Amino acid sequence: MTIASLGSLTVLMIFLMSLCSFGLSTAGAYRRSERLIEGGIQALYATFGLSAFASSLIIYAFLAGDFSIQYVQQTSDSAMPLFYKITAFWGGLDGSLLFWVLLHTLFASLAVRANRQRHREMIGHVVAVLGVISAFFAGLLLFLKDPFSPYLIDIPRTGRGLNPLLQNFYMIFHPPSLYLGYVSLAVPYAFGMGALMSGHVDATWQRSVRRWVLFSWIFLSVGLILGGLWAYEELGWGGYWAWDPVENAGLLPWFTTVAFLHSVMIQERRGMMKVWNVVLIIISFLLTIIGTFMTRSGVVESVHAFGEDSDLAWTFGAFMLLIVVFSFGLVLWRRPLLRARGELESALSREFAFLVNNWLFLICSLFVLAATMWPTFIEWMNILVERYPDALGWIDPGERKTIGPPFFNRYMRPLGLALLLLTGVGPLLAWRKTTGQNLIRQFAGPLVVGVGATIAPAILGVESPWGLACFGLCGFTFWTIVQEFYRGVALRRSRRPQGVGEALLGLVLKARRRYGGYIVHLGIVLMFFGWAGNAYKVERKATLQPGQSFELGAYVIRHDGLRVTEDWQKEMITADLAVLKDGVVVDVLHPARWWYYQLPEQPTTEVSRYMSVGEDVYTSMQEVDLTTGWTQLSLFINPLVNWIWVGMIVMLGGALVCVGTRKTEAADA
Amino acid sequence: MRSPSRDALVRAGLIVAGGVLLFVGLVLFGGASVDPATVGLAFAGAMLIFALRRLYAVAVALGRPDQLASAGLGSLSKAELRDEKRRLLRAIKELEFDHGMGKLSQADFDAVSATYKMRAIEVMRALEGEGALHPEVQAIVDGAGGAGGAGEASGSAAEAAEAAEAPEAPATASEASASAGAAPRTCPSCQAQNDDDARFCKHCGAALEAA
Repeated sequence: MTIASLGSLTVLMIFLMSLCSFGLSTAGAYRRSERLIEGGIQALYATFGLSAFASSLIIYAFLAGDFSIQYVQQTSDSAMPLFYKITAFWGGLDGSLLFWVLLHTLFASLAVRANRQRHREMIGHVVAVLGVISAFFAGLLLFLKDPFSPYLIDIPRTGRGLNPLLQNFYMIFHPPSLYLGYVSLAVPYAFGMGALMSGHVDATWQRSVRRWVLFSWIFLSVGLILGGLWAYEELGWGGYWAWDPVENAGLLPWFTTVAFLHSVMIQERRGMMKVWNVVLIIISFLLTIIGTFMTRSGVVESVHAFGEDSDLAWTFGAFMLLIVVFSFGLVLWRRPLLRARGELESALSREFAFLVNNWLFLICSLFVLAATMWPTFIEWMNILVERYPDALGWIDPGERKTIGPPFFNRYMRPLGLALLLLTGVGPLLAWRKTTGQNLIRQFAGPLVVGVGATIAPAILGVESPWGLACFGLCGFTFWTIVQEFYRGVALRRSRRPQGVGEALLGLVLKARRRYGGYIVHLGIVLMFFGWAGNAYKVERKATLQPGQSFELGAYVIRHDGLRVTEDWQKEMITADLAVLKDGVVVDVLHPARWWYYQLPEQPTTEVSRYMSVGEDVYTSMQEVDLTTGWTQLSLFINPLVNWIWVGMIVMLGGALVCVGTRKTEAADA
Repeated sequence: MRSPSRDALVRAGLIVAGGVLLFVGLVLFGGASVDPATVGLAFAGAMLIFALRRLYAVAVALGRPDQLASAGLGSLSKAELRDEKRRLLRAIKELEFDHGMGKLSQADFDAVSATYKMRAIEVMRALEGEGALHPEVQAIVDGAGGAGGAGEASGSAAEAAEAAEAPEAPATASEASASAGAAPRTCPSCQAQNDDDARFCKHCGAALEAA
């Protein structure tokens, strides 16, 4: 038996066991049979065991260079470094689907194992939903995209190799991190559906699920930021975010999970917004499926979609329709149980701020989704008009257009700033109601700082109104966070004499969720601060010969010469650029262009940058002529850009503080 | 439930350790050559065993005699109550904190915290297995003063509470262990026993002094 046929057999087994797990647990839940439910749970664990086996088989095939398997032949070659051989597992479409199944079954097993006692009443339904999802993806593997399908004739001797663009440090972690975020969202969805089916719609399931959502959110954030870093370092166009459809696909569930993490607090505290929370979970899950659909089926044009495949598109379409009908049907059916207990009492309350925050996040998400899908939608209309000329009457859908970053920026900028404002305002408002006097006491400090943060950059020469608004709001929000911490520490110290450090630590540990949340907000503020730098970004194109200089903002770039080198994988042309500030050389940059032997028509751009606290000097080489020495360079000054990465680290730290609520909750659960 | 799974973990650990030892032994003494592919194959083998075990577990689970899955309505409602209690206590705590930070006006704070506290008392009493209203609450509902009667009743309620507390003790043991050894605290106004880290009496809601 070859590895290929053993692998295909395992995929078949995964599919069958997923169906088993669905069937057994559904039957068990309706017949209230402990035995059948237990069987369903064990079958779910078994799908994980089988996927782990299938994954280890394909990794073995990569390591051993089994080029009789198409997928292995297409995404690796024997000369690749060991590490990239392993990561080639998720480098292509088929493998990434198998990776998806592996992660899904792993998370499903972990979640069921952790919660089966606490949620006995709904676990059968939960396992059934998880089983259906894994059956869907295993079915894709089995019927459409078998990663183990072999070459039947003419088995090639060598592999084609992984796309050199993907042979990058960030690319090792960026896709798995996004996958982790995507896949783990299936767990909250399954619990939400389980709660609806079994009728136990109180806040208990959400508390179990909240940590999963937080977990997904962390991984989505890391994945998005790493994707940004990859684009910044590898693609050489001077930016990190271009509203590419696949990037957007990761952003969509990010928005809705943030919304959920906020609105779940209202339900916990006030018993309101039950329907809304369930709907947010459903939408988040749906968006992960849409995201996968956009990436995998090639319906939208993107730098890193995996190419067009209409079978896959139809299958995903049907699955999404099924999810929509099933989930919203359940919500409608259970609507009487989901009625709210409390009511909004004042527009000046934290609940209301949360509500506005939710609306804004949902609008962001829907806007990005619509703008991303619009070109595809136009194309579908065109196809429709072609086939059935009378179907749409007089409407002419027009040409397929792509919607570029300027369009997104125009609308997302005000939305983003509004969210930043809420980040500042929300925590200052009390639950239920805030009175006028309190308002003054709360807002005086932040407002002063905010105004100061708007005026200072204006004096220093920033002209863009958006940039100024962003700086001002950053100042405002930053001060609200400082004020929260300061007052909290002062309160603790007044109750019991203690040092500032001790009080601060006690404060964060006592209300981890609240202060962890503030730390996350601090990270967000830092990221906005980094984005505000775009307001005075400098962007130049220059064609230089060795010896020539070019003035770039406060710097002078001097071309010191070209070098040609090669190694066993590629040929490299590197330029030496001296960066001078006030006549002194502060750094020598080495932007390069690499021609991989396996893909000579697609040279990669190697960026080189001079980093400082205030700005990046970013250089990349576009064209080079070795005979004359003419080098076409893209030169950028990206102010404050590094604060974005710092902000991410702060945000992650805060998120980890929030995740750490387990101990105290487990103790009294 | 915990100990069998821990045993399984230990056993799995032992098996893995044995496998690694065998492997190292083969490499060092048997002269086997190791390349990444071999390691991959060994790993795949281990995964195969794991997958087969899980499949076997399905068969075992289905082979067991059946019993009715008990959602346990009684215990469930208890869980819900406990949940509600935790939520209310947290809400009160946070309310005090917000008040201390100056976000909440005195009038708002008084009104809101009074409703929360009343509700918390109700929930705690329901948790202790008594359907009847707390005597003091009853007195308010009846519109009568009845302080003496309330005192007596809460005395008996305290005894009942102690009895009801016992089965719950393991659940809160981990909480209590932090300050183990401290005596349970007695409420100055109604003489009821409270957890040693309690800041309010769970019977009458009066503030307990710091120990």
